[in-house]
This record gives sequence, structure tokens and C-alpha cells, in this order.
Amino acid sequence: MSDPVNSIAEWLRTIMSSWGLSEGLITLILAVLGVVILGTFLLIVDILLVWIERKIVARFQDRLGPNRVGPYGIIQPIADVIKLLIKEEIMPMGADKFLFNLSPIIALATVLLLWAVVPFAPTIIGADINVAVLYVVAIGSIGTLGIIMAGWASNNKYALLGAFRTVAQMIAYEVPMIIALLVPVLLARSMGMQTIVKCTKPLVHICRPPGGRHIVHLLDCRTGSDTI
Amino acid sequence: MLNDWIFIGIFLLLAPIFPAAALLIPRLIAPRKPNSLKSETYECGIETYGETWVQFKAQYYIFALVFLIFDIEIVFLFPWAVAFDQLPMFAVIEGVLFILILVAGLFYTWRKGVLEWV
Repeated sequence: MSDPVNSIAEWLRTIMSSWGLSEGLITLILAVLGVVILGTFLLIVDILLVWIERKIVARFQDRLGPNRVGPYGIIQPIADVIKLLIKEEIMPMGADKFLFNLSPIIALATVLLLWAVVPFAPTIIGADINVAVLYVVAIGSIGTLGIIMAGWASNNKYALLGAFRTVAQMIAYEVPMIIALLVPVLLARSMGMQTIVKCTKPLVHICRPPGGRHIVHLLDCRTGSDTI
Repeated sequence: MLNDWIFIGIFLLLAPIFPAAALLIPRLIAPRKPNSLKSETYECGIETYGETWVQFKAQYYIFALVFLIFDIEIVFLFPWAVAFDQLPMFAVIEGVLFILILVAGLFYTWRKGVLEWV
């Protein structure tokens, strides 16, 4: 209990119990607080990661990438966020309004949900459940639903075709990914993320097929818009 | 352990709020002046022809069925992998046989031409 996150949680717990709140309510409040902080943290880190990705991809393609807004263009993603927020939302005629709005929510919510079991440090983890790998597989496949929903709802033949192609791609890589995930489970004899990471020894597991740390990399690897 | 599941339950409830907020904020601050030309279905510059929500031949329909079967069977391997060193030799060989049956199924579907992209 020496890390900052857990010590702050303990401090809040003692403060709230001094107010006379029940144990269950305190746990609930702390969980809500944890979810909000984790989700916000991820979205803010995402802004920085978009900048890093754009810079690196630009170098691959012999370009400079964003370099105007702020030093080395680091404010560029924030400017993009503001630009996207004040853009007009265009709903195509005849689109299924409910599904059209639901699909981006599903697609982003599943990505956020995956991070509930990703270990940040030995004691800092959203939820250290013992079936974390199964959870990742289960939640990860919901994202496909959001894509087919978006293709169907926008009342556009090309969008539907694109959605079919994307789904074909996503279900094609899913079975090999799950088989690859079996290896760290087999080596660690556990599906909990912390157990898998703890049993991963540096330099030993690199030579082996995907080890514990590689799961996190697999989670990170996304089928982005430029691969489709 | 129970606390962890409470965390995941609350995450399930709250996670849709983050993208929903990103959709709702433009409702408040962005301009919204739809007209018939702007909200027309955009396909490739030509006017849309016919209905969009037609029955569509998904070329990989059987492929998707095979995927479903493999997906579910592989999930069955996870408990086997967790209890791997406590299992008797019999169960380990059973697991290998299970995988071999799957491989035979894969070769059968391959032979049937399901894996071909039409």
C-alpha cells in the first residue's frame, strides 16, 4: 500500500468512514471515482498517443507530420478535438438514427472497457479478476458489433460493404489472437493479468511465444483506419 | 475479488457515457443546419440508386459460421490451460485430441472450399 493511487484511496476511505458512511457505500463511491479517473486518464493519454502515432507514421512516409501548433506540433491533437467538437453532425437521409448514434458509443466503450483489467503497476490495476484473459476476449469481440451497426445504419451501400470487409478482417484475426493468448495462460497457469505479468521474467519470455507483457501489446495493437 | 467485479460492473455502466458525451457536446455547441442536399446519401457522387437495406450476400457466411465454432471451442481450452499442471496425463492427451479434431475440421472445411474468398 505504498503506491500513490492506493494510498489516496485509503485516505478517502478513512475520511468517508469518519462521515459515518457504510462500508458498502464507500466501496461503491471509490469504484465510481476509479472508473471516472481511469476513463479520463485513458482519453487524455490517447490525445498524446495520437500525436506520437501521427509523428511516427509521418516519418515512415517521409513527411514531417504535425509541426505548426505548439512545439513539435504537440498541441495539434487538442486543436483537432476542439475542431471536431464544433463540427456540424450530418445525419444522412433515411439513416437509422438510433443505431447511427449507438454504434460509435459501442465501438469506443468496448475499447475503454478492455483497460479495466490492464495492469499499470504491481498494485495499480482497475480490477484484478481471475478470468481477465477471457474478459478481454469477450469484450474485445463486441467492437465488431459496433462496426457492422455503423455500416448498416448509415443507409449507404458502400458503408455496408466496408463494414462487411472490416468484420471479415476482424473475425479473421480473432482466432489466431485467442490461440496466441493461450500461451501465456499456459505458462502462468492463470488467467489473471497480475499473475501473468508476475510470472513473466525479463529476457526469458522474449524468446518464447507471446508472454504476459505481450498481451498488453496485443491489446494496444488496433486495426486502425489506415489498415482497412 | 467482489470489489473487482463491482468495479467492472460500474465500468460497464459508465463506459458508454464517455463517447456519448463526445456526441452530445456537439449537439450543444456545433451548428446544425441540415438541408435536403447536405443530408443526401453520399455514395460516389452519383445519385443513390434503389434501396440500400437489401438482402446482401455475405460471401463469407459459412466462413463466419466456422469462425463461431472455432471461437467457442478455443474458449473451452482456457480452463484446460489454467489447470494444465494439475491434470492427469489422460486429460492432457484428451486436450491434444480435442485440438487435433479441430485441425481435422479445419482441413475438412478447407477441402470443401469454404476458406476461398469468392
